[in-house]
Amino acid sequence: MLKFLRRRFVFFLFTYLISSLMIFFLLRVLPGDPARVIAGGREATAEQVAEIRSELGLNAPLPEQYVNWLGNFLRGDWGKTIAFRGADNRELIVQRSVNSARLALVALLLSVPLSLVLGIIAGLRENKLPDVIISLLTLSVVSLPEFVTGLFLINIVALGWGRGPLAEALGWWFPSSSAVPANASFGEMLPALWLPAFAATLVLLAYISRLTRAGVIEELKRDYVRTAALKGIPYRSVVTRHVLRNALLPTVTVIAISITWLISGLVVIEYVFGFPGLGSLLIAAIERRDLLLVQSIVMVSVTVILFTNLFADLAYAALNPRIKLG
Amino acid sequence: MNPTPFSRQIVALRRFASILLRHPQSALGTALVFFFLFLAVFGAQLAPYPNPNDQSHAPRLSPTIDIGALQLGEHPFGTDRLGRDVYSRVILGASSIFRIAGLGTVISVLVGSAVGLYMGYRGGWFDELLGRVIDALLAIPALLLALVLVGIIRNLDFEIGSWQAELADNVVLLVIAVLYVPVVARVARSSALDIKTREFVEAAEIRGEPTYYIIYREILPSVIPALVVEASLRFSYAIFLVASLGFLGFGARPPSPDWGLMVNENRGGFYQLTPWALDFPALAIAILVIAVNLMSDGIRRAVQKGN
Repeated sequence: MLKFLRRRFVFFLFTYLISSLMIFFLLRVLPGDPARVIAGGREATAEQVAEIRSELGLNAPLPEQYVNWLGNFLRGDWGKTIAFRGADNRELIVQRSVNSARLALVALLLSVPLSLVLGIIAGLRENKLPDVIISLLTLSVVSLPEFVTGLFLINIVALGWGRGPLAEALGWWFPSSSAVPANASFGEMLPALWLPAFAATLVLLAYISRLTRAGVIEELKRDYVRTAALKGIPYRSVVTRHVLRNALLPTVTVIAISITWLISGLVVIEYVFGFPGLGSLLIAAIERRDLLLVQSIVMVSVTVILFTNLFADLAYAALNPRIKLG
Repeated sequence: MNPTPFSRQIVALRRFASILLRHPQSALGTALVFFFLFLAVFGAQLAPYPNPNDQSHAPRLSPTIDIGALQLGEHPFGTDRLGRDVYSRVILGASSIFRIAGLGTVISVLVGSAVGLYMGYRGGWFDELLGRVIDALLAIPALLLALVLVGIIRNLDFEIGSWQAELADNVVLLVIAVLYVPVVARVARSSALDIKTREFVEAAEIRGEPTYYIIYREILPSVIPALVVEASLRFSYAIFLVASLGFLGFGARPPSPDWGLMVNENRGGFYQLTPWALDFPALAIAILVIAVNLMSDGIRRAVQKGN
């Protein structure tokens, strides 16, 4: 177990190093001068560019710049944003991350139980009508881009149903996400979270339920299931006590993967719904050429992903004593 | 030697096609993908108004398509707020998504399999190091990397007409190619690890064949099924990514008839004016993405059965 932990941790650090190197050098080594971009492109005078260069520490050798940058990032000093006047990068990112995390939480709370139920039903009734219906629905939803499902929901709820009591009721239940202030409390934000969370749910739903279905089908074919059935144990308790317990074990990993997946899915969903989260901040930062903000956002996302994966590996190893820990 | 060198491949291909097309879902998917491919190739001949930016029509005309009567009418999908024929633009938009996703996939599969096969065959520290780097690269979600890369490269100033500017115009294609190289390399590597312990590889080594010969003539033929499955999977992800990037404003620039861009240009307040200018490109994306998925699902099944 200790050896496994050590290996996982070394891999974690190595991955962190590689991704930070890549994020840093991608934005520095590519042709084009970040200082010139910040100063305003071709119109900027040489003095302006030089001033920004020294301000950002761009005159130091690249390895030194990298060490400074990573050190500042790890200490929590993420610099000032250029795109959003006066704001501190860290405050901005923390606030938007909290919003994105709320959205992700609602999406996971909606999608995980629902998709487990659907996956189990489909798995237990393999190739029967419920399975065919669930599989067809999830197969077509899993492949749709988030913006198509998102716009579909917006247009149905917000616009497509026109005026009248129904549309008014819906507008009351699903206020526009773009009208929410970025610093609203969770309670204030919740009504605006349902619709984007539902869009994310549709995508996750398809994914998790397909994996659950496969797990249940595989587990049902095991010898111990047949033995238990021959011993005269009722089907219901064979399923609940043995099959599901084993089939749902990989779900821990699946949820971790879906968090990774949510991070890129949320970029699109937040953009579609105009939701003030980390993803929409990333797009705004790229559009406004705020390199330092972009670097920090990507680093934060990578940190979240790596920690989730590390946690999932450890949880999986702890839950499943059979796993090879070499 | 075999008197008809290609007969075996043709038989294998036929067998593969018949397994693929026997399954109704994958047959439908494949047919639809070929339909869109047809549009992509012959779009300029099929579109009633071959210039996508032809604004000579009245703006905001409703669609005239009548599915019951099988009639298209003057503007089957209506016209947008600038007076452009949506039907023509949807048809003309097929070529860019196929070109970008298709070429991107081809490049990534070629480079990725070369890298992966070499890694797997050579092994040792080289494989170990590169393998770890690949794992690390894959920790960053593809969409985030694509956004950052496209965002940076497009904002660089290049001389108009220079080769850098040419590359920057195809930035989405290049980004897709680059992003999927590590993914393909990982698949190729693990397949090569499996094959390189077989006797025929050992025999070639004993004969003293050079490395490229062993990789190209001995290992490659055995890993082609795995690579075909991976290529079709990559293609479906690439279509998805191109559409998403176009929608986010990081793909084609206006006024090109890119489906994702058309969806983005006609959402919000414009949707109430001309819903059809959003609905039809969105529908095209949805159908294409589902079709490509069904096809790649079928290809995977056919390859598994064929082995």
